[in-house]
Amino acid sequence: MTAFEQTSEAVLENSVQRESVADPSLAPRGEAAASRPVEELDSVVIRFVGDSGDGMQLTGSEFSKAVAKAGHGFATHPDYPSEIRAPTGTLFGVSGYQIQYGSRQVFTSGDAPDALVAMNPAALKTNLADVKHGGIIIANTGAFADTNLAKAGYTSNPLEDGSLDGYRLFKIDISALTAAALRDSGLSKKEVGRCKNYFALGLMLCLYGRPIEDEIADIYEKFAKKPEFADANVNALRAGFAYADAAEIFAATYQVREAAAKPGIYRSITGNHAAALGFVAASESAGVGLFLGSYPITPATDILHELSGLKHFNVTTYQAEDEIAGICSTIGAAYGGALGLTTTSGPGMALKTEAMGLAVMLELPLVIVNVQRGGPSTGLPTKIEQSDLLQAIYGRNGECPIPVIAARSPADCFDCAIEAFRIAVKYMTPVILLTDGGIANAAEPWRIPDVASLPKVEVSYRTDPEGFQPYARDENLARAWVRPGTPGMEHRVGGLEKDFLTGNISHDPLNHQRMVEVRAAKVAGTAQDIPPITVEGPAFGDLLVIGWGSTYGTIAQAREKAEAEGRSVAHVHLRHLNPLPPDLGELLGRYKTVLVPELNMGQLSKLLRERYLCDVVPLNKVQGKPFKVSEIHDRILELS
Amino acid sequence: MTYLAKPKLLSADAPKNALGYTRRDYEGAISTLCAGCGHDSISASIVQACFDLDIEPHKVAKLSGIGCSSKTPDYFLGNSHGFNSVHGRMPSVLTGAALANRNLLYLGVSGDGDSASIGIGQFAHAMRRGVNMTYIVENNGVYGLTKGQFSATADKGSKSKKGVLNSDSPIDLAALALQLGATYVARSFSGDKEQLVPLIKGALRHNGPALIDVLSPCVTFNNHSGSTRSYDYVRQHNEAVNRVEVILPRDPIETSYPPGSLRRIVQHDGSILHLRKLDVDYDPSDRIGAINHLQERHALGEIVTGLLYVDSSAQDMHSHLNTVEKPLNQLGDAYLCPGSKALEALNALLR
Repeated sequence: MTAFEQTSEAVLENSVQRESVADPSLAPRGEAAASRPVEELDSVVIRFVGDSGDGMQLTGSEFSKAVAKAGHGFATHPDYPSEIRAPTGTLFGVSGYQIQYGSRQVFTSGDAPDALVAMNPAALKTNLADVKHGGIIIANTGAFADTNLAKAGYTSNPLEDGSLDGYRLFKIDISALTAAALRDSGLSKKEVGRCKNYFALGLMLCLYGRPIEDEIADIYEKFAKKPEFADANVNALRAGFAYADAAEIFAATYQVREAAAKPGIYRSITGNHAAALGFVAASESAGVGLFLGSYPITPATDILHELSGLKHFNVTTYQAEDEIAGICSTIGAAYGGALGLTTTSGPGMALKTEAMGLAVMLELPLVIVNVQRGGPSTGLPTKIEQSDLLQAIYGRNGECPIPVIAARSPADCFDCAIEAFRIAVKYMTPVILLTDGGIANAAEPWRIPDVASLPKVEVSYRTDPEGFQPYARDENLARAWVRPGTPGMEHRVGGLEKDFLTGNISHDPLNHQRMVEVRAAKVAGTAQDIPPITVEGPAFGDLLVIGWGSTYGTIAQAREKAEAEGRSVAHVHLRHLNPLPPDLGELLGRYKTVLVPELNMGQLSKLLRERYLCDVVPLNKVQGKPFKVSEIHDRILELS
Repeated sequence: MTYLAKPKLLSADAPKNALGYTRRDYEGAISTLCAGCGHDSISASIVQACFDLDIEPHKVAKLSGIGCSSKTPDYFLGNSHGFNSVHGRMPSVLTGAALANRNLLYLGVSGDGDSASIGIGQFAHAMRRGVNMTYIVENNGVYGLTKGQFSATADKGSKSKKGVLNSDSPIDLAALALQLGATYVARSFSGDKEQLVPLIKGALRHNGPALIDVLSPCVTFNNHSGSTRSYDYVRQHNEAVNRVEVILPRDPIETSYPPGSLRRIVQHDGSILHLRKLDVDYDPSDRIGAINHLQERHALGEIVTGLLYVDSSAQDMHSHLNTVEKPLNQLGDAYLCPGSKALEALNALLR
């Protein structure tokens, strides 16, 4: 069994065989609800919001798991404050988790929630504006006391003053109902309060026609060491489910049509988790150990956590004392012959800059992951942004080219992780992989691939001293990878400019020019492996939308919508950003207008203008939030 | 800290200090740290110390790096100047600020990740250069903001919340500061305000680099059994060498301790540190002895707290560098050319 399959089964408790709806446990609920009408939907957007301590991230991710098991396509968006536990009841302490799931492929977590579960007034206040008009609001009335209303800045209770008349409001005292369900649990009042997220989960599972048996099993597993909490949470879950089932306030339950997905084993996966598995897959494919040197930084730390749990796959993780030590240890590991990996986010990327230059000079293979967040400086640590593209491509002293690729979705992080190491070892170069705080934490269903179908990462160390020159190059301009300790091949490497063949220190003017040019040519040459661009939509036409990174789903959905409305609009989503795909220049000429939506101030736009001397229309957003489909759709309609 | 809206108006009899300020005037925004966080107690101690010392809020610059601890300057001294810098570089920013303007009271607040890992170089050089500052490390042994990884001050063998044992030796910032030449070095516990507040006051009145390593348990990620930074563990292993009382020049001196149990240290600015000995053999003016004591007791699993070392004749970076308050080009003709009589007197000195 390969590493990757084993991981999938050992670690991923929530994977699910997706064949058909034959499994009765996946079918809609039984008799109790049969008397109530079931409203069929194509897709639904649900947002759970509450205090940071209310457990909304857990509720949301557990709901996602239930949806995943039913075989739906889905996409999620966790949105939480940078405080570990913000003060209760405050507007800035609100934590939310949004999921969209449906009967077809789901590209984004959705623009506007159809249903909002608000655990307190602050959560209602900060999220109400997003809710679809006429949508469902489930409010925990137990938290709508005067003090909480005041903290949220309400002068009157919005549940009572008619301000929510445009919505379908369900007032449920989740706090009191949970407390009643757990009155014999022996838990303290505070501990009981912590169980109310499971009540909310049970309620929503019932309302959206999902069974709770799997969740109960999960709870017992999760709280195996604390059985009293397991029982309490299960009771809260059951109580929530039973409440929704029995209470007459809900006129209907909702059933999203089954998805017709490709058969296979699916699991829910986040971008950071997918990246970690991809790196292990690359290491297994190459037959070379993986080394991760990393310093904790939001939102990249989870890759370190995931990989530290996979040491049995010849993975070494090293929590360095700072960002610079993180990359320098990685360079050392690459020098020693391992697949070197370092992971960070924007500010850490800035600190690693000098060492990246060293790696370019040494021509050693390593991968640097930047899980981008809002910048500059400390910026918005938990929020999404794509503003490190130019830093990745240009941000070093000297002529210092590094291949740059970017993942488009959580699952795509897996493929990009392999691609990054494939380039790194084939061309003996550092490679930067860009993801972002959006896809790093968001989850989507992922069809576990057949390991035999994965791209190969091929490593060969040179051991033959015959005619060896440390900086002699192969047909790809890559030098040989020689592990220290190999007899007859002793040589020195370093950051000073070196002779074209021997690698000895050289200050010769023409040699320097030659080395600068060959390093540039080598990186430019990685473009030879980039597959032809896939265009979604017409091959010629009025409008081409070009994106990169986590905006994929939003652009794809906006394009599909516009196309259905009769517009001529195509979409290209770039994985390779440095170098750009060789056929991109020609492609740009086939459309009247090129639109480039980015979560920055126009960095890819700049790059395209510079490389192809063609104008593009930028669409930029820097609010720490992803695009809404409507924002891109509106612009498409204006331009096509 | 639990969110409690503070009343805007205070009762007329709220205690005021010599400047006419109440304690509220030294407080900051509502803390967003976890309820029960040790850092909030340290913030409250800083507020108390500044109130007691009649410090003019606008004369204080509070600087920090990145991390839970470094967020706290938002939660105290709301009327002072604040600077949240980048991860680990607070000492460098503070050194620059102190070189540019020596007339402020510099308070650096940092954590164990910020000071013992990414910023250990900056920490070390601020100590050895003698930057006149109060450097408070809020030490909990973990990275809180990134959810609980061990930091470099975590004890070897200490257990993480997930059950992993720490395999690396800890960095003792107090011992390091002693070795590097800090002239006021203390260790305390966030749960012991009676000890902490006077230590902060002494540091604020010290002329030179004053380090206070404050053990400050992380309730969310490092307060379990098996951790050596939990409230219970620190309480059980706390071995204080002395208790400090800070007497300002204006205060009447009243002591009622038996002779021999009290040590009196006069600092550069005239403030007096009264040290009530708890360990009779401990000598806080012996730098080498202090280092030895820390190491010996650490090997026994004890946490030594109190004023570990003080050099009452300490000098700061400005005197090391021989800098002047006013540069030559701002002194004016009258000062620079004092006339023939002054020249005569000078010549006479050299004859």
